[in-house]
Parts: sequence; C-alpha cells; structure tokens
Amino acid sequence: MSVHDRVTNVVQTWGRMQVLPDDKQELEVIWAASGPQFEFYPYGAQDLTEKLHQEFRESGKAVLHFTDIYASANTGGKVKTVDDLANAVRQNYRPQ
Amino acid sequence: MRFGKITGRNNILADSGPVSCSWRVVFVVLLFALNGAPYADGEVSAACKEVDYKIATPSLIAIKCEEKDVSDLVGKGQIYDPAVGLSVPVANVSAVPYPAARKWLVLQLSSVQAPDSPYSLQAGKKYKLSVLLYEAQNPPPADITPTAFDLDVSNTVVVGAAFAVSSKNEYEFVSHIAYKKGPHGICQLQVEDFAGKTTLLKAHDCTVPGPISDPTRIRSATDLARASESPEDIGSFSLTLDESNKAAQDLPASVPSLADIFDKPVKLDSKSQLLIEKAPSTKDASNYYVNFNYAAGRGSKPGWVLDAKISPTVGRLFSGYQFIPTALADIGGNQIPNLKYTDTINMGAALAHMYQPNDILQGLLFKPGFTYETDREFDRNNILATTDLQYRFVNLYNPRQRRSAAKFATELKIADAKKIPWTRANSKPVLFGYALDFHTGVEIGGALKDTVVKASVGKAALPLPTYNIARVVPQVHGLLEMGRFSVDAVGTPRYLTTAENTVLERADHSLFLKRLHGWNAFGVITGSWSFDPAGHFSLTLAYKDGFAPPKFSRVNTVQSGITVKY
Repeated sequence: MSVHDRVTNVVQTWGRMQVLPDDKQELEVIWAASGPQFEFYPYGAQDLTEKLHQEFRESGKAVLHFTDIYASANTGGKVKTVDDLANAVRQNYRPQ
Repeated sequence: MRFGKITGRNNILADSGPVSCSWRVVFVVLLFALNGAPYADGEVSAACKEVDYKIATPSLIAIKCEEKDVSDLVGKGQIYDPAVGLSVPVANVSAVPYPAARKWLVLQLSSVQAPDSPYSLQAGKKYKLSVLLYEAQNPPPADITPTAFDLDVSNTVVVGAAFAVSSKNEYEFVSHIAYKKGPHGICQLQVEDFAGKTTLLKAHDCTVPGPISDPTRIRSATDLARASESPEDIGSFSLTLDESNKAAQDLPASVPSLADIFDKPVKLDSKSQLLIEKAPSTKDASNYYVNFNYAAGRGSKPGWVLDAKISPTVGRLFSGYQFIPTALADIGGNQIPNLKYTDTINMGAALAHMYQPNDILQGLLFKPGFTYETDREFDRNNILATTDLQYRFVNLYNPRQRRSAAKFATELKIADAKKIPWTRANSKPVLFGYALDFHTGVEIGGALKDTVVKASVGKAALPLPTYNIARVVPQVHGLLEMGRFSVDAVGTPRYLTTAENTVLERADHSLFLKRLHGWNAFGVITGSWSFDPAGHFSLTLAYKDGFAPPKFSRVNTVQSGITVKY
C-alpha cells in the first residue's frame, strides 16, 4: 500500500472518523470534530505521531516528530493538513 | 485537467431497458475506443479531478485525482498531439487503478494501428488527453462525456524544502517525469549565481525513492506498483545539504548523474530557489506563563509578585512518554498589604503520556516526576517524587478554540456540498467555551536537611528540623470562556498524611515552629481579558486563598497584573 494510503488510514483511526479524510482537511480541525476530548497539541499530536511510528515501524528514520505538526498552540509546525502529513511521512520514510 | 463523469446513468438504464442499454454501451465503446473520437474540451463534473501526474515510462502515466478513492474506476480514451492536429488521435489510452494507491490511476498508451504495441511519448512534447472513466463493476453509461487535459513531457524539476523532521537543509526535487537513475548517499548539487558562475554544494542522504531503472520492463500498472509502491515517489529525488546554502541568491542548476527515463540530464526549474529553511520545529514546543504584579503604597517600599511557569516539552517521545522539565515560582518582594504570594519555587521534571482508556474517560494523563520544592529564601529543601493523574471525561473539554474548529468542520461539509470556497477565516469563532478536568496525585519525599529560617525583617532565626513528606493531592480545574474574557479556577485540597514542619512569621516578625497535618487546601480563581485574539497577552485579576507548600503560610489575596502565555 502506498505511504499516502497508509497515512490516511492512520488519520482516520486517530481522528475517529467514519470516512477517510480528505487531503485538504486540517489535522487540528479533524481532532476538534471527532477526536477524543483533550488538547490537540501536544497530546493529540503525540498520539498521531505514535500511531504513525507504529504503522511505519520498519522505517530506519523517524517519519515525524509531533513538534512538526501545526497547531494553534504550535504555529511553528509545518504539517497542517492530511496532504502535508502524507508528504512529510513519505519524505522521511526509509524502509529497512 | 478533468476526466469525464458518469451523469444520471441510472435514469438512462431505467428508461432504456437492458437491451437498449447494451447497444448504447457497444456504440460508445466502439466510437471512442476503436475509431477514436475528436478531441473534446468541455467542463463537466469530474470522476477524477487531476491534481498531479507522473510519466512513469514513455507509455505509462500515473494520474492523481482529487477524489478520495478512484480505485473502482477504469476507462478508455485517446491521446492527441496538438502539433499533428486534434482530430486524429496518436494513441489509445486505457485507464486502470494504481494498485494500492486509491487516489491514483494508471493510463497505458497503445498504438492506434497496433493495439497490442505500446505507444511512446516523446520528450519535450506536449499532448492532450481525453478519457472516459466509469466504474469497473458497471458497463460504461451512454451519456458519459470525455474531458481533455494537457500533458507536458518536458522535464522541468521543481525544488522545494522537504518536511525535515530530524535535520535541516533537506530538499526534494520533484518532476512529472520519473527518474531513471540518481546519486545515492553522498552527492553534489550544482548552483549558479546571477553571473552564471557555478559552485558545487556537498550533500548527503541523496536518494531516488522510486527509480524506474528500466522503463522497458514496466509494462503494466502492476509492474509500476512493484517498482514504486507510492506513486508520489516517482519523479522524486531528495538530498540534505551538508551546510545550509548561505548565498540565498544562488539558484540550483543541476544534480550530476541524475537522469530521467528519457536518459536526459535533469534541468532544474529556473524559478526554484534553495530557500533558507526555517528551523524545524523540533525545537522544543513551549509552554510559558508569566504573571507580573507590581504595586506601591504610601509609607512602604514598592512590592512585586511574580507568578511564573516554564514547562517546555523537550526532545522526542520515548515509548510515548514526553520529557517535561518544569519550573514554577510564586514569589515576591517587599510585601505590602494586599499584595501577597505563596513564596513557592518548584523545580523538577516529569514524563507525561496521555492514555485513552474508553469513550467515557477519553483521556488519562499519567505524569510521574520529581520536584525540588523551596522558597525565595532557599531555606526549604524538599525533594519529592510526584505522580499526577489527570482525568478527561467526555464532553468536558470544549474550550472556544476546539468548539470553533468543530463548528468550522461542520460548515466546511456544507460548503463543500454546495461548492462554496470556505476557510477558517470565513468561520466566526464561537462565543462560549468550557473545560473541566480532575486530578489525583501524590507527593512523597522529605526535607533534605535541617535549616535555619530567618525573619524577613530583623535578626530572628529559628531552626527548621527535617521531616518526611507524604501528601495526597486531588485537584479540580475549571475554565469558562466568553469571547476574550475567561475565568479559570483551580482547587487543590492537599492532604498531609505525615506531619510536616514549617516556620512561620508573625506580624511583629517573630518566628514560630508549626507542625502541620491533615487537609491544607489552596485555591486560585483567575479572571482574564485578552488583548489579542490568540490570548497570548491578558489583563488578569487573581484571587488566591489557602495554604501552599512548602511554607503553608496563609494566603488570602487579590492580585492584578499582566499575564503573558505561550
């Protein structure tokens, strides 16, 4: 399965979504709409990072750090949408 | 670029009946697949709205659709060479899903004269394509409309900063044409200044994740997926510069030994720049809070109170746990009436992990750590092992920010259905927000050594003997927001299971030793009005009442000041 598809599957589980997320959807908005009721940043972002590391555990390089995820409380983060996330993971995925 | 869409096919099928439908299907397939259709350029609602394409081999093209899932679509069409004319197709096209990439299709080109022979695109040319797409399970409907799009086979590569997670200076060189070969490991990037002078920059981690080494061996979508599981990897090359490019005006010119499937060296887009990358936000996320109060009264020195918290999240996650060093201070100087403080300094560190037990208790933050507890005079030396459990129940965490984002998500669904562009800037934030959470914790340790406590004024001094500490610390925290105004309340009824010593100062500055046991509660209610929409700066009014460690001196005060939160 492509990295993009694996990432969208992880986001769907993480955000407790009934349907697959759209590429343009913002992670923070997904979390607010259907995610568990605690802070998106840092805890929701950490949970997503953990789930991605689990999914891409065969990668020799960390596919993401939670601090890379954009949030209203972390405006320095660059990964804002599902598409950004899929790209970030793909660019850092090094299967061993 | 848009592909055709099946519109109202159910009605057609219902009206026409199965026999009539079959004739229409045969007619359409014959018309478009065998004889070729004149190039049609029209705007229809697309079954696949193209957002990207990759020329994997001269006869295989991968198309990325905006739709979430096109893995059930197949299709047929033609490709035209505008230089020859738009009435006669140069090749036939068959579309199948890209295996294991649900947003992508693979278009296979075959010769018009010999359908079993592949047709090869020529480098440097532009083509127009027209494809009919339909669901694989159903026959193509009669009223399907072909749609055109353009294909550029010039290998211009766009350079962009990658999402670097562990290092800076990472760049991705993205092309619509697959790379045949490229450097691996250590490589060089040639840059050019405005005078045309070239320089080689050293780089590492050079990689082509989805090379098409032998395009002749990639004959089908399955072969292509085997060569590159992620279609986004086709035409991707990345490298990490050893040092950041200091001359921002230098333009990337070429990467020696990087070649595309047409065996041409890659030409980089002249508009591409090696933008000096913003430091990756692996820089520790911050959580800073500073509340400063300053007051002066007739006949007394000016007084100040600093209530501050610094607790950045540092480093990476370790098995899901985050390291958080913490420094807390509620200290002051030159006390004057109505300007008091708890005289507490806490320094320590904790690990934190949010568990998700079930749908009722949606979050359980487990935070074990240690704390050095003292006061501004540093005449207390308590070391504590601490554990805090924070309970997040369903429906109890809805601050304005989250409610506004959830409202935007609902609005976006409606806007998407009506095809109205909608962004967060269009969405009005909600007025009210709230949060309520509960904690339970323990603090276990002791005073390290006997100390001598001195009075704030005069020469009185009293020894403070060591003691053990075992506290149970329940806590309730509530937040109510209305626009820029908010009220935050924290109640901490701390229970001392063993007697603790403290030295307190009377109004005449004499000292006395007190042994404390049982409940010693402390509460803070803070009203804030934010200056800025993000709530970083605010005017605050705080009411503090109770007894806080390590001194447990009575505080009953109202403080006003400016608060900065990040």
